[in-house]
Amino acid sequence: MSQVMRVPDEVHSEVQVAARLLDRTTGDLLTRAWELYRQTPEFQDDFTFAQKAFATGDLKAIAARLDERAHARAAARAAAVREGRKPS
Amino acid sequence: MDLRLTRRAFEDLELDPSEYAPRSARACAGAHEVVHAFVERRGQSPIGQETTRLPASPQVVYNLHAGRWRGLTWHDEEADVVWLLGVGYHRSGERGDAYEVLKRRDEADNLFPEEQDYLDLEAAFDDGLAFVEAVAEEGPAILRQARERPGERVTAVIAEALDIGVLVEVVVIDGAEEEEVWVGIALPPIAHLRFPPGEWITVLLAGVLGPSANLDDVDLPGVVPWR
Repeated sequence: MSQVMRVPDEVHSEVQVAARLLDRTTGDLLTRAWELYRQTPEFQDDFTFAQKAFATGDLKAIAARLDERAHARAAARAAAVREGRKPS
Repeated sequence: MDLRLTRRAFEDLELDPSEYAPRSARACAGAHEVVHAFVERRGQSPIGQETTRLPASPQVVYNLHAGRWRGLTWHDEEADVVWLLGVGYHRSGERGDAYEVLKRRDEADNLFPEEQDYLDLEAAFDDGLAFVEAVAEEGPAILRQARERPGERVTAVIAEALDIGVLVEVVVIDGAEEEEVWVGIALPPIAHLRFPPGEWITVLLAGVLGPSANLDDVDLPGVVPWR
């Protein structure tokens, strides 16, 4: 099975620059990035969790997980801003 | 790039944050002349011409003028958002001048966006649930349609937000028929104001591909059949 993502223009441009620097094709880099992302525990956990929850019809559990991720991201961003305020 | 006001900036303008904060500034530009000016200027460029040096923070913040109103904006590159941090009246040389008030906030560590401001960028629980419900209903349906019409791309808009295409090809390997499923997701989304977080895409894939899909078989090809 294959999954395809069209990336935004600015991301595409950055990938093109990186590909030139590394003497690789953009396709190589995107495929490598996907392989690495697919192997992350976060992606594997989310995918497997959602698969099981869809199979059992527990849709609120998936929504709750998305909500948890949103809260964690918001907390991390706020913490990064606080960290950025400290004199270097 | 999104344009946002912090909840504190909404309070400065006497606009109810619980009503306005979950929205992009572009969606509430008519609520106040300052919001209108913010959208007009920072919509063209995330930075301004004049900066204000903050007493405690190293971040570069830009002045915003709208009549007698003055505000400070900050380009949050990490979140891809320009924030209007706070607003007040210009009273040159007075303690109540907008810039003096905002500098004191910086010293007190309450000028920049806080956790709730960042949470306002995220989808609410009910929106997430609506998305999941739509994926549960529409995901298997689009795969079913694609299986009925092998070799033909079937398109759908999931949850009125994500434009996806699914194509099923039947290939014969060593005499055995196997199914190859292609899922294309158009980004940025057609309806939502912001990019969906990665886990929404993961949920979408899980919902479309179904419980029998093996994660090890999911690949990112360089070329899609309908390009």
